[in-house]
Amino acid sequence: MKPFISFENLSFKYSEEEPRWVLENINLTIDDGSFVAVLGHNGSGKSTLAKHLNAILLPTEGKVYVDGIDTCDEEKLFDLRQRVGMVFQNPDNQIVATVVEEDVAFAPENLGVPPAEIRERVDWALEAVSMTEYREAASYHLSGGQKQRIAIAGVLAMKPKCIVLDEPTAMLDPQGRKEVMKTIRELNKNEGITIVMITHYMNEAIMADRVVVMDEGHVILDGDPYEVFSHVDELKSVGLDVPQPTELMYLLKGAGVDIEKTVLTDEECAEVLYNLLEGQR
Amino acid sequence: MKIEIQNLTHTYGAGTPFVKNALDDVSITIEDHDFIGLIGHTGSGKSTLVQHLNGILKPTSGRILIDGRDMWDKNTNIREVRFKIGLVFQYPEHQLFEETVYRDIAFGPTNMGLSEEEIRERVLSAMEFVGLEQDLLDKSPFDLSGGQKRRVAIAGVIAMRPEVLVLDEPTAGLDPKARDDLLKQIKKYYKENRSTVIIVSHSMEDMAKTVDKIIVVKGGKIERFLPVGEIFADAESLSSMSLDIPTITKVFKKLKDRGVDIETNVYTVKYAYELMRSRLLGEVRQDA
Repeated sequence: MKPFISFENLSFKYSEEEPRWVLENINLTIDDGSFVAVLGHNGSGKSTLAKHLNAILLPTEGKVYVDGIDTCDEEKLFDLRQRVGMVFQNPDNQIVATVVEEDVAFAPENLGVPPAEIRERVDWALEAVSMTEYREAASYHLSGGQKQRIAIAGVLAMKPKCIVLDEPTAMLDPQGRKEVMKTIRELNKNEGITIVMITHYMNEAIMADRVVVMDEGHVILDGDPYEVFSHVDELKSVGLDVPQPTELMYLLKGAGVDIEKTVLTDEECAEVLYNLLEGQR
Repeated sequence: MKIEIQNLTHTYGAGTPFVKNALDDVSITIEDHDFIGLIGHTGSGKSTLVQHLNGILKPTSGRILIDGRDMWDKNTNIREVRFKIGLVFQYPEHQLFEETVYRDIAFGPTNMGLSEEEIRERVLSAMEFVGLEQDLLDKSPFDLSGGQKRRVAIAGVIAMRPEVLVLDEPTAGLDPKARDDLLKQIKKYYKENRSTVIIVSHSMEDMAKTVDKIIVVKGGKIERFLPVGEIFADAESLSSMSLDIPTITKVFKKLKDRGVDIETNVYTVKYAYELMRSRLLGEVRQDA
């Protein structure tokens, strides 16, 4: 079976004159229905990578295929963009209408979806992001987390197979961040939508099935969160972090405490510490 | 510099159907050389509060005393106050406007009426402070990366050498290293200049390892004003205000809940490490 997304020897630079590649020889495949988090410091190339998924940027060399479509194929541009929706950092830049449900209807209207089906899709999309009760609200009166969920609903109404989110929670408070992460997880689990999420928050990356780490235009680590976050020194050397429980275990292990597996969450960390303390008695 | 806020109320949209008290009878005293974190969720009034500190907003009622003098008294020169209390807004890179990095950073010091020489010295030292290379001096600020723009904007405030430095979510959108670097620099400014620093942030983990005291704002009122340790010791009430506690603090609460005899006011990884190392390996903690 062909993977849903594949980057084949992808290299990219903004102009010919630039001496350095922004992305250099990327080979990566992403399965249908997976949830991938992409990490990297500012300027590592992660947003550039994401923008190749719906042809906002085109490869300088190599190819990107999404659901069998070559992103360079202009004839298929509409099909491609209907399959891959993008959500960006600032919710205020993504909302076009003053009433919530009109905003969500914007994309299907442009796609020429029949009115009755637009109604259905909008209702479904608002339900999926738990914003049904706000459907007639003024979009500019919503909180940041709510606005971001409306932006996601707007993308959902196109019935995409994949949603790419570029730091979707960067401008939100902890409450808004939780709401948005919950929504993203549910869309992945319940609707089977493939998620590619760029984030600076390690606590969000651990929710993904797979973590890809970028540095200087290359993929330097790729694996499930336990695998990737076991490389504490390597992550720190490229300006990234690990979750606090992971760091604590790593430090204790370095001091000589007998710890085998990598932990990611507070629960796992408490469990390991509990067993260690019990073992002493 | 001591800042006393007395019965401060700020009302937005007075006389319209959207009237709202963003701050409601707030009284608080910030002592000289305090290092404070200001937290609260979106809409709690924290940005409104910091915008009063250098006179961008005027109280609807109440007073703000700077070293005992009313900021809005007709004998106070509000311009002077603004030179002493520097405010870095949220996403300050959106406010860059000059043709070159040099001129953007020099804008504040120029308004202060300093000599050409002094301005130059301050611009260069502010650039060094935020970690900008000197070869960027004549570049347009709009050609820089996001992280560099943020640093130019912060340098513009640093160049005024404010006695009180107020930063509204300075690390939002930065990657982990840029975030840690910036927090370290802010800490350095605090120490070297004996200044007062107030940081607005959503990140409890950053606050826990940076500031000394925390103010929690909720619904336009001050809910808490306590040393960091005491704030996180009371995790339940923070959760009830839909605020987060550091993940590491949650670990120790979970241990306590399972019947382990252990302290729960653990809020940095460093402290957690020292505590657990001594428990597990029997080494004596240095601070014990």
